[in-house]
This record gives sequence, C-alpha cells and structure tokens, in this order.
Amino acid sequence: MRKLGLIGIFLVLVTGQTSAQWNAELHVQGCSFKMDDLKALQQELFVDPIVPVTSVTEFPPYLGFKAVVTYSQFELTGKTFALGAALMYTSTGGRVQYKDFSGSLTGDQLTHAITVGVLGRLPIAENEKWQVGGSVFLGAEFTSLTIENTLEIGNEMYKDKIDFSADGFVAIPSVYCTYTITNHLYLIVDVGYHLTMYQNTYRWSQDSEAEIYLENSNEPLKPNWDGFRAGVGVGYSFSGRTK
Amino acid sequence: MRFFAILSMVCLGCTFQLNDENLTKIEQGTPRPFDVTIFEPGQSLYIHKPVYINFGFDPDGKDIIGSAVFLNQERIDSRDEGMEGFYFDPTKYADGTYTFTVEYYQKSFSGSLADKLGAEVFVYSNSCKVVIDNIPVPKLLINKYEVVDGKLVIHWPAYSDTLFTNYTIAYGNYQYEIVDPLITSLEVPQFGGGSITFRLTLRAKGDAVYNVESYAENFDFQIEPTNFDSLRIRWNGSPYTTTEGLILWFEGSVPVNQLNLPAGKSATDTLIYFPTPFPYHYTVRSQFGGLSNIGEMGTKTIASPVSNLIGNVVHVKPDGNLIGISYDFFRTGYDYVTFGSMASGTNAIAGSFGLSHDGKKLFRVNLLSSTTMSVEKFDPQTSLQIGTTKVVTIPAEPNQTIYSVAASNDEYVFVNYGGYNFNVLYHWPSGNITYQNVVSSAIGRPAWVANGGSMFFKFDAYADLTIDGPSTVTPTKMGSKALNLPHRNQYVYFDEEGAQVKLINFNDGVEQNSIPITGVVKKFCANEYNDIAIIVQKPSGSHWVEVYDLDSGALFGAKRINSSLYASTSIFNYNFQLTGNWFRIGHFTREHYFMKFDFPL
Repeated sequence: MRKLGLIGIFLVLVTGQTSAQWNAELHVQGCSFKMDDLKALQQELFVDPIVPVTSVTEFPPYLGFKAVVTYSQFELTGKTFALGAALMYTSTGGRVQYKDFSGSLTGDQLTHAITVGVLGRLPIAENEKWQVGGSVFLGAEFTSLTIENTLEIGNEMYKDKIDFSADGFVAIPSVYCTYTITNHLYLIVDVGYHLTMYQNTYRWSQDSEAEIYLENSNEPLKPNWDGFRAGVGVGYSFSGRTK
Repeated sequence: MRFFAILSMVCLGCTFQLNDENLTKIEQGTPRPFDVTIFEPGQSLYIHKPVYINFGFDPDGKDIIGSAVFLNQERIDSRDEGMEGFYFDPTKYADGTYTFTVEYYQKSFSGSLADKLGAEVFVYSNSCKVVIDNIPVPKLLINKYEVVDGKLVIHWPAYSDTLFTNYTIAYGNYQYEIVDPLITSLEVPQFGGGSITFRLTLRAKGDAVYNVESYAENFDFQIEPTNFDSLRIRWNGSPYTTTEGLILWFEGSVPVNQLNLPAGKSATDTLIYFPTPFPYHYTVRSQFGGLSNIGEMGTKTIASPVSNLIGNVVHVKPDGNLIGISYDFFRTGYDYVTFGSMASGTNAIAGSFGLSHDGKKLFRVNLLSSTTMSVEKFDPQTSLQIGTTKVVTIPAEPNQTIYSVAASNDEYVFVNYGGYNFNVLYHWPSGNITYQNVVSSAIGRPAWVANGGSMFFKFDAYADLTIDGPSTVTPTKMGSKALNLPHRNQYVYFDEEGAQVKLINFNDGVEQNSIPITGVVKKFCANEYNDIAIIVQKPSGSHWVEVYDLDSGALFGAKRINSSLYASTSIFNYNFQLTGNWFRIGHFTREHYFMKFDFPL
C-alpha cells in the first residue's frame, strides 16, 4: 500500500490535477483458465488404477472476486485518469474419481490464486451516466494448489493431502463501462484477459525445493491462470460522481 | 486492511466446488458358504500356559483373503490368509472367562472398489469360551530321598491345586506316571546306584507340562583300586539291608565271575581283595529287589606283576615290609602297607621255602634225588643268595615231595618230605642234620610253630615235638592247625575232638584258655599279634568266617564269603597278615584271594 501511495504521488506530480475523487468497487467475475499443466497432472494421478478412474472435473471456468479502490485527480489527454489498487481472488479445480456402492476413490486438485496490484483506468467516452474506458492491471499473483486423494470404503475413509504454492506477475488489460445510478453509486462491467508475465513453479509447502514433474518430463509444473475475466460490479464514489 | 481481510475471507469461502456425480453400477457378490465349525457348541478351552490352538481348518479353495481372532470384542490377531491355528499366550490377558472367536473372510468377487482392495468380504465365524488361568503351578522339587530296605525312595510335596493330571518321574530309560496327587513318593526299582538324575514333571491344568525340574540324586558308587590287588568301593546313602545288595563283577584272564558283597553292612565302604595274578576288569552293580544287571559303575584294570601260581606264603616280620614269597615258580615280596612289590625274581625258582620267625633268614630246600636235598640261604629282603648251595644226604624216600619247610631264628631248617612222614632237621651253620625222624603217620601240612630259637612241630596226630633239645611235650590232637603266638608265649590250635580253640603255654604246655566253637570247622588260623582267631566253617555250599577274641572267647562277628567264588574249590590255607585285619584265602588251585574285614565285622 505504501508503494501504491508513492506511485499516486508521482502521478500527481507529472499530470494535471482535477478535483479528487475516491471510489471503491466490488466485482464478481467469470473466469476461464488454461491450467494445461494441471490437466496433464490429472491424467497421471492414478496410473493403472485397480478401478476405472475417470476425470470428473477438469479445471472449468469459475467465479472470481475482485475489490478495487481508485483515486481520480489527474487529467491525461483531457480525461480524468484514475489510479488505484485491486485485489482478486480466483479458484478452480479438477477431480478424478471412481465410485460404486462399496466406496469411492477420489483425486482432487483444488487451486486458487490471490492477485494484488495496481490499476489504471482511462475513460475514452463518457457522459453524466455512462463511462467507457480501458484499464490495465499489473500485479503479483499467489497461487495455492492442494492435491488430496480420498479412499472411502463403507464408513471408513483414508486421505492423503499435499499442498503446493507458486507466485508470478500478471497483467490484465480490459475494457470497462460504468453506469451511474445515484450520485455515489454506480455499476461497472469490465472484460479483460489474464496474461501471465512471469510464473514460478509449484513448490511443496514442506520443502521449497520440491517441485512437481510429470512422468517423462523435465519441466516442473506451473500454474496457468490465463483466460478471460468478465465481471460485473458495484461501485461507490465517496465524493460523488456529479461534476 | 480490515476491508481486504474481510474480502479475503469471503472469497476463500467461495472456493470452487467439485462435482461428485460418478457412480458406477456394480452387482454385489455371491457368498460361497463353507463350514467353519471349529469349536463344538458349548465347548470351552482351559488355557493356563502358552498353547497353540489348532483350528483344524483347511482354508484352501475357499477364497479366504483374511482371518482374525477375537477375545470378546478385541481383535488379538489377524492375517492376510486363513489361519489354521493360533498361538495363545494367556499371560497377555487377565484371568477370566472370554469369548474366543475366529473369523474367516471370503473374497466377494463383486469387482467393486472394496472388493478390489480386499475390503469387501463375506464373514464366517465360530466361537467358544475360553478360561484363562495364569495362576502358576507350584514348582515341585524332590525334597527327600532315602534308602529303605535297600531301595532308593524319593519324595516330593503334593500338588494341591485343581486339574491335576499326573506326576511323571523319569530317569535313565525309565519313566513312571502317578495319577493320584496324594502319592508323593516313588520306590525306585532297577536303580543300580551311581549318579542319577530324576526329572519330576507335574502335569496339571489342561494336561500341559508346567513344571519340569531336574534333581540330581547322588547315590554314588566310587570304585578305585587301593593297590594292585584290591578295590575299594564306597557309596553314599544308607547301608544295604538286602541279603545281596551289591554284586561285584570282575573279569580277568578267567571267565566273568561275580562276587556278592556282604549284605547288611553298616559301613559305607568296603575293600575287596583280588587274587593277585590277574589284570582285572571289574564292574560293580547293585541289585535292589533281586534285580541285577542294572548299571555299570566303572571298569578299571588291576595289574599284578606276579604269576597266578603263587605258592605258600611265608611271613617276614621284623624288618617290616615283606610279607610273602612264592616258592613255586616266582618269588616276590609285598609291602604290607602299599602292597607294592618289594622284591621279585624274574626267574622261577623251584623249591620249598622256610623263613625264620625273625624274618631274617630264608632257606630253600629242593629234593635232588631220593637221598639228597639242596639247601640254600637267601636274604629275604633282597632275594639274594647268601653263601653257597649245600647238598645234604637224607633218609631215602622215593616220593620226592617236600611238604613243609620251617626255619628257626638260629638257622635250624626243618623239612617234612616223602609221604608226610619223613622229617629232618638241618643246622645251616654246621652243615649237619641234627635230627631225623621217620614217623608212622604223616604229619600235617604247615605244622610248625616257632618261638625264638625253638620250633614246635607236630609229627603225628597225637604228638608234638620241640626242636630244642629235642624234648617232648604233652601229646594233643593238634591236627595241622597250630599257630604260634610269640607275644603271648603261647601257641594256639583247634582241638577237633573238643571242638574248641585252645591256647597252650610254650614252656610248660599248660592249657591257658579254650574257646568252644559250634559247627563244622574247616580251617583255623590266628593272628600272631592282635589276639584274634579266625574260624572258617563251611556248611554245605557256603563259607562262614567267624572271628573270636582269644582272651575273652567273645565272637566278634561272622561274615559270609561269596559261595560262588569258592564253590568248586577248597580252602587250604589261612594266614593272618601283619596288620591283623585281613587274611589270605587260597584255593587248592593255587589261586589266592585276599580279603579284608574291618573289625568288628
């Protein structure tokens, strides 16, 4: 946060200033993911199983959440430029499973990411109610992966669980559209694409040197959250949106 | 920050939810029943010690992939196969009554996940009650042993707890079972003595062996040669009271023979004298209850350097040690303490020997012809000849046999030859025959008594002769059994007509004591130094030796001599030796046996 503040001060110094405006938003996003490494891992979790295990879930698109705070006081090319910070949460998962009357054999791979970074918005067109613009998010992404295998026979259950983590840097360019409902309240829709700029490999929580390798591969596995981010949110302008 | 924290919690609560719609339809398996009636209904097991419970169940062909046993509800063992039995250690559980269950798990073959993992089975079980008893059976020890009437009897404390089965007593190749807990002793038959180990086993509480205790009973016979011609046999325990407690088996150059040792002996050892000529291998066995061939106690060899054809024994007293000499083919002397050979000749020496009473002069006489004899003098200590051999003319007698030779301290040599009735008295210093006599009847075999320079000898059945003058004393019926008692100034003989032992003063011939004897007296002898007389009586088939005090006439005791040893022979001579407590017995076959008796018997 301290860094964001310094960036904001820098922008204030290099741009023109308008009246200050603070906004806060909450978004719900639909997210798609590539997760090609984890999908490959799914196929290797149960090699030659005693029962025919099948993939039930293969890291499908799922809802994400985003919280944004912006500060608008700068003019750039005649438009009021907004600078802010965003925090995002994204999750998905995979499951391979066999199940019959006697019990089940399940292999789960649950993963989520928390992404935090800075956000810049520049309106392209706007009137009193509508505003359309583009934005760019740059931030760090912290991924967690839990691989959990469960065997249930009758009332007895056997589990083993292992946790991994990975971090990286991402960029999410997007376009947005806001609609002012009241002087302080507005709706926002944005559509963007998650781009991984740099990604570290999965590391075992109990040994940071341990990585995941697929059989016959020399490349350690990495998360790949790339995909579309389309969401809707509600915002609140603390100083009011009426100019 | 609070905002972000709340946001994170909200988001994490909305983590992706996985689908769970993947049920595979599988038919359940079909049981294949089999019989697991391991325990009969109502059966119970009594378990006191670790025991292997054999189920007697064959799991083959029943698709059993596991089994388990339970004590009440507690699983106490399980296997990945069908158990055929179970090792039950009761010490792991508290005493009490339990339900013991065995379960067998049959694979379902449904193909389900649980089936594939061996977790889907059909269960077949069988149960019984078990009673666990960890109270230990007391340790039984053989706490007493004794010899009763010649038989070894062992004792042990009674087992007083429940479920008694038996006592088992084992030793050697024998084993006895006693099923009455109140019987706590065993009279051990067929025990030959020696070191023996009994094993007392108590079987109780479920017919299991709970206590095995070894106990070493030492009824030990020790046999050792005390010298070249005798054995000392010692044993622990009470004396034998049976008539034939011990049998001494010996084997030498003669066939195996046996000697029944005296029964009723109060001492715990005895000394057995052997005939000297043989190397003997011997075995001592005891016989209880009339049994024999019990056990070999030991085998040793007694080596003797002398020939078996030993002749008459003459006594060498003053200088201590030499006690006898052979005159037939071999001569030797023996230390009367150690019985070691003191002097011996390597060549046979024929002839008859006479030794002076002081033991310092030894004369050998040989008949050279019907009218001549040779006389030689020897040092009895060294066996070396002294002087030259002298040839003496004697009254003619075609029967060239010398029956007795006697020598006096002043070197008179009395020779009885011919048909017992020719007597000459040869004086070695002068080389002359000083007396000769031909009597009408034969004098007996060794029939001399000597007293210093005088010699008494009996020349017929009713007369005595003194060689010191000569003079004649009162005729008596001495027979051939007279012996001198120089320390008493007496001679002693057995009066056959009067059936009594008589002691006569040397000088005046006055009878000074008489001891009445009952029974048939075959042989008689007296100790020259300790006032003891030996009477040997031989009733039909056996020999009894009686020992009397010459002063009081009291009977010290009697002892039976092994009849089998002497049954076919005749005893021809008895002599007391220096120590006074043993004497020599000779057969007419010239086998000589020395026996020792402790006095009183």
